[in-house]
Amino acid sequence: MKFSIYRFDPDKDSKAYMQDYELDDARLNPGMMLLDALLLLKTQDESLSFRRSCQEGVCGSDAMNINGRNGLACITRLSELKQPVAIRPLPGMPVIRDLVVDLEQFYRQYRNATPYLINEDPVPEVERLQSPQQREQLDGLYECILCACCSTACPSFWWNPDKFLGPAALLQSWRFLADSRDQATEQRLSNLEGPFRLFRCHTIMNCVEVCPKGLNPTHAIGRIKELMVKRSL
Amino acid sequence: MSRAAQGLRAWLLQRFSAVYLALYVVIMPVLMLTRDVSGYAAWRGWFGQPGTGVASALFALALLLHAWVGMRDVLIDYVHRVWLRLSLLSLIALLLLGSLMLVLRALLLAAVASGS
Repeated sequence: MKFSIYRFDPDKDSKAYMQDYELDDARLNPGMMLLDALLLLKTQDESLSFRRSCQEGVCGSDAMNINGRNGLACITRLSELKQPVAIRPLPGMPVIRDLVVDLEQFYRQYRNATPYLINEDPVPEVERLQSPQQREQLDGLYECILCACCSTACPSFWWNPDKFLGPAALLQSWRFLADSRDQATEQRLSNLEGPFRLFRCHTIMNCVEVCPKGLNPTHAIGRIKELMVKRSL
Repeated sequence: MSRAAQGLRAWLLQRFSAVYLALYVVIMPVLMLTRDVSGYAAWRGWFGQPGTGVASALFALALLLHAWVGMRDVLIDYVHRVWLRLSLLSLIALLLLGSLMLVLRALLLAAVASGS
């Protein structure tokens, strides 16, 4: 099987380049994931760098651009990929080395979304309870693993990564706005005002297209706008 | 415009103007088919009527607002040098306002001509 992988080592290379790799088909099993192939390639060339951890689509470490589409290498089947498989780092992010990118900007925007419950009531002796219906509101929101596939597929995030929160952070924004236990609705909404933080979203929906967990940030962003309209008119 | 109004208000303006623009471009051709507007005089007479005139003036205004928000979005996305963005925004504002004036002038003249 043929691969073409983005290589860049800041200590040696002045420019990034694509390097061809070939993996003996005898070493491949049916049902193998792309990450398995990358690990085999690393035994051939140990200078090849990429992040990975859980290997089952839960940690979100091995997000990369696979044949032009962002995804997690560990849950992408080799058999579904056209050869040569072009693997690049997540688009628009500074490359540290090979497939490893600097996600500082992404995490900064995540922090901007204040991704934690704000509740000024005295802490109860038991948990803060929710009805099953209230809990249901968080489905499709809490599952995000922060792999950055969506935000780095978003043109608006490419053009303004320092000002636009991006789909991942906005999904988290809605996750806490939709939480019946959260009391900071006004504060959260005013934090999202202005032309940049929320309103750079032009419903391009690349985020929905690439999310490896099947989540829908565009829908969450729509719900935030809806709530803003309700609160301001 | 206050800072708090820059996001939501612009977005709402674009949505609502879009609805009006869509209605206008569907309804006007249909109305046009139901009457004889061939020839300059008939055309001018039709646009000189209060209903058509006001609807068209509103159309021009909605188009201006819609285009303004849209062009502002494009410039915010792609033009990152502040002075360049500001100059382009001013240029677009002048063009849009100028166009609006021309449309309003034409409609007014049509109204005056049909009234005489």
